[in-house]
Amino acid sequence: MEFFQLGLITFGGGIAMLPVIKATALKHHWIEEKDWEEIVTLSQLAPGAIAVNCANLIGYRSLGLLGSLMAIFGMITPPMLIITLIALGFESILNLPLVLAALRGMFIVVFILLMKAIYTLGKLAWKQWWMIPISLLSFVLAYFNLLAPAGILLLSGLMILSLTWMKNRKHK
Amino acid sequence: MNLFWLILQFIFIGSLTFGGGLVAITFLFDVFVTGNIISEAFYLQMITIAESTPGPIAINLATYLGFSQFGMLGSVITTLSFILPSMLLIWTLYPLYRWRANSPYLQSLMIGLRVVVFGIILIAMVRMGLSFIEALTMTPIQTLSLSLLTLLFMPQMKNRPYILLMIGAVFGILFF
Repeated sequence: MEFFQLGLITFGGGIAMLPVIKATALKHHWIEEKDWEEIVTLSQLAPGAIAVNCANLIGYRSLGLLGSLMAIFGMITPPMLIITLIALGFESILNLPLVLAALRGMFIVVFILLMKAIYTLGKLAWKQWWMIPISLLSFVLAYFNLLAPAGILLLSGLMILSLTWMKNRKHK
Repeated sequence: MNLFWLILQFIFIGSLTFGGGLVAITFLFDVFVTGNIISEAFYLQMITIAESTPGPIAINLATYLGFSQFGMLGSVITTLSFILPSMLLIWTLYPLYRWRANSPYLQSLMIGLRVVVFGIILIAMVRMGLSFIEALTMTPIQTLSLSLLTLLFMPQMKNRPYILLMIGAVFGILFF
């Protein structure tokens, strides 16, 4: 199977790359159109890189556990090889002024691309106005080391679950 | 600093990165830069490399950080530890999800955690933004024009970001 393709096409990964993954998966008939929404939802619900989760689920749908492993392997092997090669050669060429200049240019492009990714995420996350201060609160708590990010996630997870529980009780 | 500690860190981070790999940038900063294992400048370089090469950014970062500490073995181990929690969780979640896809608990967890995580992702952006501002004050005209150039061509290059990155590299060599 050509899961390796997945690892090579997903620049930056994440939500921006989902359409590309979808097109590849449909082309190879690993999944059907109707499965896609479920896969996207679950990829985002679970922790970890969205693209890897997506590969995991696509593999699982088409070949079960073996498919999962193959898809994940295909997704992560090309990037790992490339990074390793870069890391091997990089330390030595890192001090060349030419490389430094190129990196500075690339950093600016990367920053703009990431801003775009953040913007997409923000539009997705902030469905209602009162959600904005909540994000800002978690930003402040984590930025000033008032609470470890893990603690923030755990607490907010518990709060969300209990709020949902209370809401459900009221409806009954 | 030993291999076992590194594995634990990555398993820990891998199980907390809700809402995608971008949030791993913040978590890894805390472990490696705040923990004085690597310098902030080197970390920013790693982010640039991780974003400029194919593959999910979190995977690239994990591989790079692992390699910088323990070579080839380190890179394989950190990447595998990072994906292990999500892999296991998906395999257990999937049957559960098929059974209760419309559970209000799952729905609100997903929406809510995304909001909280967004705040944590913003931290990474603020840190990168500081370097961006630094570049802006050092070489204002070049930085500004490259940013505009990127913004201009971004819609056309949606599925081919590597072209933008090549433009950035060439631009950097010519003008920085």
